[in-house]
Amino acid sequence: MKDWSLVSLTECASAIADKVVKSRDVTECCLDRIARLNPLLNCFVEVDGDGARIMADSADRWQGDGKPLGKLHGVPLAHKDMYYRTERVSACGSKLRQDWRPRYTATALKRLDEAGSIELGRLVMVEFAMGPHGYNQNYAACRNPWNLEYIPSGSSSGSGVAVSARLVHGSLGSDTGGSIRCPAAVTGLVGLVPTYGRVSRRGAMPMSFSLDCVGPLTRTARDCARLLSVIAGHDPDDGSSLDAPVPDFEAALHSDAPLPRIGVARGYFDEALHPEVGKVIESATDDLRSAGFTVQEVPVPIDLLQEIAELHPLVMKAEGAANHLDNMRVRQTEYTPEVGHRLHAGFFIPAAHYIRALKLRGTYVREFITAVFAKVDLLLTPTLTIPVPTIEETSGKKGKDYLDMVIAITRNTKVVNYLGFPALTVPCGFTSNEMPTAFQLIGRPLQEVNLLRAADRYQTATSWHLKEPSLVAHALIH
Amino acid sequence: MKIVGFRMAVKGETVRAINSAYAKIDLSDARTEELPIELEQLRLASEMSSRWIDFDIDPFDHRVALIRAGEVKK
Repeated sequence: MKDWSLVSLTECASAIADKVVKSRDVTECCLDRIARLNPLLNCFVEVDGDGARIMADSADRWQGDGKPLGKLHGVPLAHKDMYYRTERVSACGSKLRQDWRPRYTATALKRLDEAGSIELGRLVMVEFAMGPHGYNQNYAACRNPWNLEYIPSGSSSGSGVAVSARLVHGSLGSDTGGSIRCPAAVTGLVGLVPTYGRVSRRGAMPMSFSLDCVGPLTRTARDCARLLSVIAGHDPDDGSSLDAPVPDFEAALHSDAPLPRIGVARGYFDEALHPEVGKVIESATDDLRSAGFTVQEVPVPIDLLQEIAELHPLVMKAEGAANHLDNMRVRQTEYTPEVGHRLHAGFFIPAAHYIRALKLRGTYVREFITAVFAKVDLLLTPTLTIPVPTIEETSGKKGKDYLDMVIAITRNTKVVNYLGFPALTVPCGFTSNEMPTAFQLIGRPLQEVNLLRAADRYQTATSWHLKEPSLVAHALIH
Repeated sequence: MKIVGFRMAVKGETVRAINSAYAKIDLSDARTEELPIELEQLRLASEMSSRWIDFDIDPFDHRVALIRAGEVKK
């Protein structure tokens, strides 16, 4: 019997729609794989096999009755454990919320439900989405399927691991400073942070309200376009939601419009670049040229980006502290020491400094666009400037060493959140430690179509996205 | 960003005083003495911007900038 967990999200949806396979059979493939691999990878907090089977059977009956199918009809997914579903536990990676049940369902989940997807369970995340390495002391260690000794990155660690190991066909993560793009990059996936406000945050645990974005982690750019088409769009229940037209992102992949012009960032994004990562990125830019793109070097405004890199944590910590103040006063012992420490600084930031950092954002957006997007449509940078680090290299850090570790991982991603621009990470090769590496494409606001078109064309010309973690295949055999 | 250690504007006693009056969270003495390094970075982040921030600029200007920048020219 064919292992349907191995096909892409869009291939799976097509096979179900064409009656090549039933949703129940695909769901069983994924559940079987989860049963065999999750004890090794620890990416699920909870697997809801019975619930998934009921939903899959319902989807098959619906189809059998000849009713119209959604874009994700019968496709198994699972999401970061911070998307609320009425009366279902949403622990947000914490002890504090280990039994907490929300009274409403996240808008993004409602839209995925309406599109017919099947939810297999809740995925591990870093406690309250605060940490780029991907660990969470509240759970067994979530492991990178490419090599168990290397970090899965975070905070959407379970999402990256589950999709990369082919346990589900796609997943929602959240991104405040790189929490979708970094896990996607270190597990060989596509990860998208949409324009701020493009996807509703309603019912997604807040970490930092003015930086948080909801987005997908998938195996291909086409899968990503499908998921974005489903979840994007104005939500009157989210005050930050943008009321902007939502294109058919997947149909746009076939557009005859001129290809977006790509600028390779020179300055800031390549300042801490490891030579091995640089070599892979250089090869990827050659592949993009061969695929028909115009690629040129673009100097970026270094001072501006350095200022943004310093202001991002100020905004994030101030907003995070406001969320957690009451709990930190009376239940601090229920936070892990690491996350408790990460929150501390936010309680001592003057309000005037925080609001000043907010007031600067519009100015920075205009300056960045003038400097970068006058000649190109997309800016290409490494997602991480370093090869994927090991768990040992990133654990046990304190004080300045801890902050330096955070910066090393998120340097190139967090500035995008402060600006509010869309960005996509795309796997493009491996470093000598045999771990994936990736480039990041940054686009103009609301121009996710350009990101997805470029990534899809790149993936049509290359095969990095088709490679599976060999460790997983080995574990399945033995 | 360079931190000039002995001239730091934020000190352990600053953290202690603000915590006592406002935050009221449980902070160990060691953590109280460690926090000023991070707080000084954040303070300098706010001070280092070379831009004059006029009082007419609204924080929601960011949203306006995103929408305007996203408008496709026809």
